[in-house]
Amino acid sequence: MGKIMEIAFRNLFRNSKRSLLTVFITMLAVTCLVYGNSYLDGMFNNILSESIKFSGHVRLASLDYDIKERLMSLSGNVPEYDTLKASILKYRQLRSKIKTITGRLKFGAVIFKGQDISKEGLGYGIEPPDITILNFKNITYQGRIIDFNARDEIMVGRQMADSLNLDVGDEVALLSRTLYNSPYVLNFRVVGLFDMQNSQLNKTFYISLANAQYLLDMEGRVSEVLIFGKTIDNTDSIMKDLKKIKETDGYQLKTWGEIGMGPVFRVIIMIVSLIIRGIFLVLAGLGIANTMLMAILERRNEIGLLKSMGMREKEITALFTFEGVFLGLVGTLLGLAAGAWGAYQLATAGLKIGSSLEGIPFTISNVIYGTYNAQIFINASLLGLGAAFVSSLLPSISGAKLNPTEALRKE
Amino acid sequence: MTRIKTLLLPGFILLLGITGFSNAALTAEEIIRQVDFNQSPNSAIYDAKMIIRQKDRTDTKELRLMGVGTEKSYVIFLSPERDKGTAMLRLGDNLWMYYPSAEKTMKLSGNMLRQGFMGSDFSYADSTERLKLLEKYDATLLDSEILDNRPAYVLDLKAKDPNANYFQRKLWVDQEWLLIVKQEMYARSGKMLKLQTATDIIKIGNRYYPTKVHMEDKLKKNTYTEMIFTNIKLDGPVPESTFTLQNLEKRKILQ
Repeated sequence: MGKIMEIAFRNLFRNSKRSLLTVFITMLAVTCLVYGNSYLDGMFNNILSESIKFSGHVRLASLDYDIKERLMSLSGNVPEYDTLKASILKYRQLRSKIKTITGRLKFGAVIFKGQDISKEGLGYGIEPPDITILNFKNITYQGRIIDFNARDEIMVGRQMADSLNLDVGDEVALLSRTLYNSPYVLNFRVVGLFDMQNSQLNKTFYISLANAQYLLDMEGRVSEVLIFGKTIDNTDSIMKDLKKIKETDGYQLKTWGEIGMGPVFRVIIMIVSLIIRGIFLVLAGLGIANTMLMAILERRNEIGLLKSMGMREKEITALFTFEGVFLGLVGTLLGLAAGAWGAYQLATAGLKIGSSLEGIPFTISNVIYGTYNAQIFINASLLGLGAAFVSSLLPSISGAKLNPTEALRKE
Repeated sequence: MTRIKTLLLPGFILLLGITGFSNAALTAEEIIRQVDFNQSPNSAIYDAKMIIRQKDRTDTKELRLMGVGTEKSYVIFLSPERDKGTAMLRLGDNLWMYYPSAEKTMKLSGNMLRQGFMGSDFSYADSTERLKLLEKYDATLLDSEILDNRPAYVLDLKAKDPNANYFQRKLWVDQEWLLIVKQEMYARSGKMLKLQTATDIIKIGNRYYPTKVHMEDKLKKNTYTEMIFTNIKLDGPVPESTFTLQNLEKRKILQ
């Protein structure tokens, strides 16, 4: 077998152009696999982490919240939020799994700058833990985070701020309808501008939960209670425990995977990503198979000669397969190197997707950061080498079966 | 001559007997003209208690309204504490609200005018309109009905002005008072949007005026609003300076 490997290795240099082409195609396919996997995994993680910021691991809301939320109606809400939160944390079993519980008030409002400039937007009343959950420390590009004890502070998203020409220190008026449909206006001072890297989320604004409750005449009420487990793996267990306790009776409980249109689109994205990965794999496989087939057709007389000299079919198959695998190995290594460079750039600098995914029913950042871990390299290596092996083995088997006299005559 | 009178009198009496009421022979246009007369005084000042019922919650808001003609209205809320001082000025199709919580005047327009007035079943347009129906609608007399033991004309009104608040209205007009005692407001699709009834009618000068109006927004469930009017003064003097943006912010209240 060692001898056959040696011959196979030497054969690589007999037609260097063909070998280079095979190496190049394999390299290209593996590079695409590494980069593509990094991008797709990054996009998955992005969707997952972004959607969890707004859904929690488990969300508690009123039974009709899904419809009311779409209609921007405040009537689907959770009353006596503080009592409910305290009673959930009373259960030791739940307390050990829960990291944070936060209540949010989601409301539509018109922001006025002066008398005439106004813009409609989505507002959130938030609690202090949301500063960490929503990563405000990193996304605030001007000014600071709201003081939860102040009565008049607001943080505004980049797009909203740009359209109203807002700066830190500006005074705005929020006009909204209360829970009882009466209009109410309060003045706020812009203390911070943030960029959530998503055009929809950048049209939103944030005030403290207490101020939102006052504005909307919803003392003690929240739109939704978001429960964050210590890890995402706690989700199902927390859900199970919450369903058991009497305090959650009459409320809707949903895990992050069940909220909105997310579940359907996650399946679609998974299918799309499988198709993309499949295309890369087929590209690599066809590239290698094509060059191997060419090699075998070119070298039919050589096969005939080797067979007439007593070389067995198995050995001929091994010879050509080794050739393919060697080429695949070189191509894979080069592809891993090129892919590693690309994936590193993607993981550090990210890829701006602009507004191409606007309108999809889940939140995704405008900048996708790729993943950069051993798994994507292992996957690409296995796929690259596997494709090289299979696509060189099959033509090798058919080549090895050629009748030696026929093979020699035709040449 | 005496002979002629003798001949004509029984015929006249007979005619009265057939028609029953002096208003019975009115055309749709004449009925609406009289309705317009009753509901569009030259000026009006009154206090109102607005009782808003939403599911199991009742809110009561007190307000004072001043209006001149069909184009100018000024409303100020006197209670509850949260709404106290909130004022509204309507000049034609323009409507401004002053919110004391933010010390700001804001102009309402378009869709906002059709929204519930301070959380009630009345829209902003409903609450301030003292429109002349004949100017905005074509009326057809459909029938006569007995409503709350009183005869009423039933009229169908279709908007001829695209800016009319409702595409169609069905009115029940009391045959004696010539005042709308019930009306249904419809969208172009034929869907009923509002149902309004007026009761406790009083006569002020030569106009009949309701002191209690009940409104149901049919697009909402389990809600209604009742307006109870007191201290009604019609056709009296109201200073022009009431209907200015400066006054809206000063919130001067006429006694």
